[in-house]
Amino acid sequence: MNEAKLIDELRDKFGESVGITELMGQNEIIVTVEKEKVVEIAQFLKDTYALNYVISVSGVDYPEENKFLVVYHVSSMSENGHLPLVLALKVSVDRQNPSTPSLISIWRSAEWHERETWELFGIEFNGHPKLERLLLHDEWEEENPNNQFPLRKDFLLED
Amino acid sequence: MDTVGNAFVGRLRSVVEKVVNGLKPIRYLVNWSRLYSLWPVHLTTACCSVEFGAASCPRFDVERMGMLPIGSLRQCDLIIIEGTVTKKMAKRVKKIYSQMASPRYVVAMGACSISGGLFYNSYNIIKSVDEILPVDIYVPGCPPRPEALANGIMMLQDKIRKKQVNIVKGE
Repeated sequence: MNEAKLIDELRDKFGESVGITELMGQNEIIVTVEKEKVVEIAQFLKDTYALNYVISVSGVDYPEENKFLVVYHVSSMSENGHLPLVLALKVSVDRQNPSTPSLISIWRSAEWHERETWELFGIEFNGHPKLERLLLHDEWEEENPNNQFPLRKDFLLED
Repeated sequence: MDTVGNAFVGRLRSVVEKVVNGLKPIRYLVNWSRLYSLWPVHLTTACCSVEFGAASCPRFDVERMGMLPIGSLRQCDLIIIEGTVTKKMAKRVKKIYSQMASPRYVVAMGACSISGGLFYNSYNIIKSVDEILPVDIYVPGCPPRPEALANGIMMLQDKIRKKQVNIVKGE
């Protein structure tokens, strides 16, 4: 597969919604997109390039820039096996009111990943059917009434 | 009926304890039988279990000293806490400990189970297993080498050898 072609095609089709793109080595692409268009872009990637397998969904906190990044690492499970291409789809989310559309309708396997990201960063995934506690222990709310999200940079750890 | 039975067994227990602890050869025999049949629960909380695995395998072979990992925790009398215990896991560890047969012993293996180790300021671990279990032996290291674990087992055996025999009421 031609990685540069994929980026060109994305730019042609979605124009301004596709932000910074990077080619990392031979098989890695990073694409930053606006959250308004992320569902369409994901659908396009799945339909056209058979990127049908979510490796991970993670959050990254940038307090200085006042934003979160939600990073979907997606790859492909074709009939011939696991294609070497890995695409990182980055969605920028406002830090004050963090919410982004859920991509479960396209990649079903992102459900628990999104739930985890919601739990640890407090990023709302609109359209997610079950945003409930997944990994933290049951007494979490009682122990941390104010500071709810442990992977944010401003979460206070003990000395 | 229950109270009568309990009262009888209770008195019997104290009588047996007195006899066993009074007669040195019998106490020795009881302790001896206990110290060479330490069966640890197969409970893997973190990465120290790799060293535990190495210790149980032929190269280091702690079975020579009388420790044999066994399948059923109802037959076990030793629990080795292999590394970090998260707050979620702590409840399960407690539950497993309470299901083991008495007399039961606890070995805290690795820095994490002793003092929190690498994750001492994390939001979801307990700092030390002695918050939830009565620890007999601490084996420090990150992770401890299999020899260190074997040494810990031998220290535990020393401890058992010197113990008074208690016939503990089952829970």
